[in-house]
Amino acid sequence: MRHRHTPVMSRIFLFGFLLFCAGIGALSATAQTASEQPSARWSAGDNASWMQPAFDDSQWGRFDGAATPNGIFWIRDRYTIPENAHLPANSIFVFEGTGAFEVYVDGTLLGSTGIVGETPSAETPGASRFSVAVPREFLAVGEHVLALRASAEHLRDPSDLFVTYSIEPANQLFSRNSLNLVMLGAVLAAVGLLSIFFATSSSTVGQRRIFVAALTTALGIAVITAIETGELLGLFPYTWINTADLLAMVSAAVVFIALPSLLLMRLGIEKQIFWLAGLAVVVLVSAVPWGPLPYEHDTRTFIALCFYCLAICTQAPAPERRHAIYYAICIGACLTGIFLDPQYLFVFLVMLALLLTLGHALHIRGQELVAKQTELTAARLESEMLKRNLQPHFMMNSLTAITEWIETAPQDALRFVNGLADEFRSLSKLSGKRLAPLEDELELCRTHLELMGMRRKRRFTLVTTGLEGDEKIPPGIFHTLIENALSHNRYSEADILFELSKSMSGEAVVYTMIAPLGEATEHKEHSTGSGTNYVKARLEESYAGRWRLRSGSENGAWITTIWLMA
Amino acid sequence: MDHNDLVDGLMDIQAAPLRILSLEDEPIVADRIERICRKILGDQIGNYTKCETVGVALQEASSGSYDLFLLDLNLHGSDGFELLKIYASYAAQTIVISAYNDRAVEAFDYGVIDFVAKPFDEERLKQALDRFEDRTKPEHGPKYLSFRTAGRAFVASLEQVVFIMGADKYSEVRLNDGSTRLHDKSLNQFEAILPGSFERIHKSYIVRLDAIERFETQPGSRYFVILKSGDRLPVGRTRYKSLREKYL
Repeated sequence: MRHRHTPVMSRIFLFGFLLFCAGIGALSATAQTASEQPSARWSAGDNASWMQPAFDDSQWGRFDGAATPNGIFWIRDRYTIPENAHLPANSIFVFEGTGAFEVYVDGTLLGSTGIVGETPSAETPGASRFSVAVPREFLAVGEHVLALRASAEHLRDPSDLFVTYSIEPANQLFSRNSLNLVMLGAVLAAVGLLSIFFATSSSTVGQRRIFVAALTTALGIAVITAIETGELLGLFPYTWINTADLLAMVSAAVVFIALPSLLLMRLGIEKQIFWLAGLAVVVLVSAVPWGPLPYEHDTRTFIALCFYCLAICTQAPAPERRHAIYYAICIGACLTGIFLDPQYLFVFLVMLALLLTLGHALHIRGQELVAKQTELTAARLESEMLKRNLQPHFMMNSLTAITEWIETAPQDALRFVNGLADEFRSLSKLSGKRLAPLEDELELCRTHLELMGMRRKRRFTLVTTGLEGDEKIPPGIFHTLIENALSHNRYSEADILFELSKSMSGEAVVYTMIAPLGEATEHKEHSTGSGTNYVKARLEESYAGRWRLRSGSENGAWITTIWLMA
Repeated sequence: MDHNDLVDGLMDIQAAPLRILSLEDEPIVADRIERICRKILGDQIGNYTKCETVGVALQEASSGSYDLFLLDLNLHGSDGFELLKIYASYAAQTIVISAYNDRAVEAFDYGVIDFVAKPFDEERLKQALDRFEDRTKPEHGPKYLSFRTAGRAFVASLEQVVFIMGADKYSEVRLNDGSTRLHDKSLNQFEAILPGSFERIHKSYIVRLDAIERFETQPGSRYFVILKSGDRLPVGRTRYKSLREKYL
């Protein structure tokens, strides 16, 4: 009987095989793998007497992996129940194999999977894993004969033929199957949750790649889990095994790439291509045995991948450190579990998927809170912009000036009221926007300067250089800078010139506002007052972390420079 | 009637032309204030000075001798209440003309005689100027008195004041810690702004009523009050009766 070698990585997830090994440990005397037993013999052909324990099969060939049966064949083996064995009454034969089988013990048919047939059309493929209840009498102390009537007409490669069997307590089998179902449910829930978050959360807009990586990781683990669960529960005929293994292998490869990709994108690591190329190191490291450490290749691969992910976490930039620590703890917990008991690799993989999903959900939740905060900030800034222009100093002095003009120069009163109406219309139009056309902002500035010129008996002019007009900026920032200058300066000259220019510095757009300094003013308030704070808040709202503002006096002028990074 | 009492009201401002200092950074508003003042007070105005900045106004206030300040409290973004503490330490009375009428009560605490909210009409400014001319006590008396010390304002709570003694054009204010501080305002000017808890008892004294411990009468209809602090102050004959009534 030949060992069937499952593909690299997909074997990582062969939980059934690992439990099978555990079963051997628990039932040392009774659990057997046919291929490991020198007593296992086979013969081509079909004869009803071959099921009998008394039949002499000494002339049969060893079932040692070289067998290439064609048509119906029989396998016979012996197992011994020692006197000190304490087997529960409800024990079960668990078979894994590639073929259709009828199971006989001591000449009695106990069960079957598929229909044994001489030709492919006559054979109905059996399940790749099936179980048969073992009556009490076949667990009696002494030697028993196991005979399998079999055919494997749908095997493309005869070398894939294998049969293993073990005897397990029924409750153990039930627990294992239940655990697998729970794992499958959990990982499917993770996929579902990710999908729901993506569908319902507006904050995932612009993070499609991260979501795709997270979903791919969870989906890959879900596919592997589904395949393993299906095989464990005997849901697949043996003819599906190669396809299922191929699918599991592809899924494992997808997870192998998607998991680090998720971390790279989620944590905002630079040089992502470099890190992904580094996965080759993981493959190489896990390809060779690790000295005396008893890890299978699949386990080594997973462990190496986890360490690689931990290395990625250590490279997270400062703003993402908190999330990096969370992911590192998740990966570290899984690694610790695997070190303690490598058999539960599959469980820890699912656990990792759930933790990553939770991390992603928490991240989205955090972003939603930030989005709500941003909305509140936008509302506050909108009201602040309007409020600043309704402040008593501006309004009451304007109304007092209008009162004076009504009594002394009615035409000026009319002109001022019209200008005031224009300014409020512009403010109303701009205040609710996060970005507004520069042209509208300039119009607002010029209107304000004209009004203040009338009040102050001066001529204020705004000169612009390098402005295109069709660009957009946070509303009210230049208007506020001009307002600041007018509030904090007393100008004695008749003509006052404000200058606004635009230039490029690398990839940054640079706006420079030059306001002349007046007499006897407190210039420090230019950069610390509520007006400047408003400008900074507006810049942060629209260019979070990608702006810079510097202001100070120079050559008799107050110069404010704003950098907007691409 | 005490002869000195009769001449009290003629000493300070009424006889001479008025000297007015306006501090307003909005030229149009400053023009309006001056126009209305001149219309109302006419020839009474001897000197009308307009200042646009705090620095110039402080220089003017310290160098010139003004009877009335017309102040805007918000100039070029600064908080004018620090200024008000300094202006309140001068002899001149103060009328605040401001856009921030929510701080009117606070202004009265420093002894301004009126607070005119912008925008204002002629009638409202006339009302304030009448209050200045008639020495009508404002509804809200001051809570603080400001004194200039080395060019800075020292503010004392009115509750600390025991009595005020006239000293030529100035006054000496006795505080409850025993110290005495010189103030630019005359007793008449104090009398115009202090609340009912203070009483003019003599041509040279204003006393806090609850600082009085007892009265003392001496031969020749000479009256005195003995204060809780131990000070003994004379009481004018014409004021004695009303003082006793208020005290009791």
